[in-house]
Amino acid sequence: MKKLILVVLFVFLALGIAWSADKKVTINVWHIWPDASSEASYVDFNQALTDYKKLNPNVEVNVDSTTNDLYKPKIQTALSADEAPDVFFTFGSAFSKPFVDAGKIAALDPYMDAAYKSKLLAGTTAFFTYDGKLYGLPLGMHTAWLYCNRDLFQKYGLKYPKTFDDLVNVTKAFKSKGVVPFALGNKERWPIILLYETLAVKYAGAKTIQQQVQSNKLSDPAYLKAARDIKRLVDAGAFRPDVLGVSMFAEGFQVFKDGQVPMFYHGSWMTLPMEADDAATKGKIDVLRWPMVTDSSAKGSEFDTWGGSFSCFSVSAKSKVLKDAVEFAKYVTFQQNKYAFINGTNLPCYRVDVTPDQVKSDINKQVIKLMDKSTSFTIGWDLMLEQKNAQEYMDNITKLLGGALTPEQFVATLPK
Amino acid sequence: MEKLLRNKTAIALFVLPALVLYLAIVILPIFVSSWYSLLKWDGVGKSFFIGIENFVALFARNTDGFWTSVKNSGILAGLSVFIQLPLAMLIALTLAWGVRGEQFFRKVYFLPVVISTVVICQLWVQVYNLDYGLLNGLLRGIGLKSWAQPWLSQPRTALMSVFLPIVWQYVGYHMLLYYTAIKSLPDELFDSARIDGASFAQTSLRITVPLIRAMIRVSLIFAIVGSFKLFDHVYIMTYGGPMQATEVPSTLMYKTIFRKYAYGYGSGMSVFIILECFLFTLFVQRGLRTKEGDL
Repeated sequence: MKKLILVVLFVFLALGIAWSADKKVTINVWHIWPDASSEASYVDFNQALTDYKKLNPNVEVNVDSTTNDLYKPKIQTALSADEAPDVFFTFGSAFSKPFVDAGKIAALDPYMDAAYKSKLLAGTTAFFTYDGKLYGLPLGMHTAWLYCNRDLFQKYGLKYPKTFDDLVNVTKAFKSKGVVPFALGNKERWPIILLYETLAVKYAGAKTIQQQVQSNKLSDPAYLKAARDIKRLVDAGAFRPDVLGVSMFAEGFQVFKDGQVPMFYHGSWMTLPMEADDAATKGKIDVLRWPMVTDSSAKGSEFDTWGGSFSCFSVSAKSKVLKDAVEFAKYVTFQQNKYAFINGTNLPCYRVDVTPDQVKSDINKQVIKLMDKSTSFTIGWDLMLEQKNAQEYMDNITKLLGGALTPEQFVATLPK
Repeated sequence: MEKLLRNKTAIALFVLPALVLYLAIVILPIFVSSWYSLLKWDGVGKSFFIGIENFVALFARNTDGFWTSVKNSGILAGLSVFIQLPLAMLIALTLAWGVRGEQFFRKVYFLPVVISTVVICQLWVQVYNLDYGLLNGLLRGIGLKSWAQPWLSQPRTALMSVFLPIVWQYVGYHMLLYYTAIKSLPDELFDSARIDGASFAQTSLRITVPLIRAMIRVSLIFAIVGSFKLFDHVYIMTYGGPMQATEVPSTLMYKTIFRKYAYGYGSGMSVFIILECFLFTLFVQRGLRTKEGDL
């Protein structure tokens, strides 16, 4: 009899737990920022998440993060297998297109009320809009700039480069003093594309480049000229000897942060670590535009900027908590944009109630001024090209960097 | 117990769970992959049947370095067979002959086999580091500064640098196979050889090695097939780089399917790897046939 009572009580307990467990909503989130050492967004996201949790104490949020180059195949595989989390970081343009086409990503238009839509800045959702529908909320405007260590330039008595030829000379000067001129680690295969693509846009102009890359038909003298310029940098000794095997997110960037390398041309997603208290570069960075090339037929200018709004939070179409997930994404994305602006990670894609003097980051203050004059924004071609072409592009540009392909051979591999 | 072992139904029943698992996890995916290799498919959307076109692209009009990767895996197979196995054999023979600390050394040599591959590879990546790695530090320390180089970042040194840890890790595994086989040989053989005055070399080469032929065959198959299928070490240490210098078929297949979204074409590569392993297994089985048949 005692046993029977125990069993019945246990059954009720179990049912009770199961029933109450249903009441709590769980949202699974994946993002690409495992820690703050090389990803500024880590801090912004967590600040936004704290705000969300305060307003929604009943919601359980499970966060999982993986570093950049391991995250890409992870999210792609998860989406293919219908095992994607409710909310996830992803890249727009051709990266997510196959999944949008296969119905794996939720369209957000039904949830976008007029008030929220009015907060979005124009043009920031272009790469997340497919067939006129919105599939992602923009996480920020990431742009690339030439970050220079003032102290190192002064130490060797060098002036900031005004033209690309100046840049090559400065590179040679640093190299002759035994200093590695550029901080670059190309194990991920894509870090070098920022330099190449910036050069290509300077020669052909943003409009031509964007139109050609998005249609996967690249044919313009600019591609060869830019490839030759990359070779000039390589021959001038711009990069460390083991550049092909070093990760950008580890030593590639670390040496700049430690004040050993004077120049770093990369996106704004690494700014926060550069200004951290433990960074040797804190307060010593001057942000420059990539210098213009000397070519009378060049259609671009120094005001053409690499970057744009190409990363977002998306919601899985198979999410069991779709409405809650969308509301989470809407709230957190907005908050993250705000904190990113204050902290210096990137510029916001929303009208955030932050005045420029609230911006803590010294780098971001400089970036705001520089961006004011920017005439165009071109995002990474690895996102605009069809994925197969994108992978081959990254493989081949790495071979150009490593000297396995001549500029002419490299241009021959571009999709036409 | 005897009755149970003889009872055919009992045998079938006990074998069934493992058989089902084996069919589902090993055999079925081979057929599924073979089917996928006849499609043009991105893994997410619609698929199109294209027959053997993937194989035509793979063999006739190859542009993604597949044959270089096959060559690389062949080089690894060669290194395994001609360096790793003889080394394992030497250690096994020495230990089985009887040395002080036989038990201890047996465990020590086997240790790398049980350590996680990821741990070993991460360790070696640090060892090879240009600025603070153990290897370059050692070279600089003994006055060979010019030999210190970025081992994993240069195409000409990357392949051998990746293969070294692999060869190192599995010597203990093959050693244990040979050691076990040697220990199962009757003691009288060795006693009579010793009485006749045979040396270590003579006993090993004339008596021991020929008698453990069957185990050598097994170990050869594992070494060769393992080399063709290699993935972990390359993926972790170099991801097939720099500039595809360390690419092996399985890393290329992985990239083709999961980064380029070419599921059908990638499946074609996997079918090739399967057939390659199968053929070499047959080849080794035939080549080292023992007179009494299989062991």
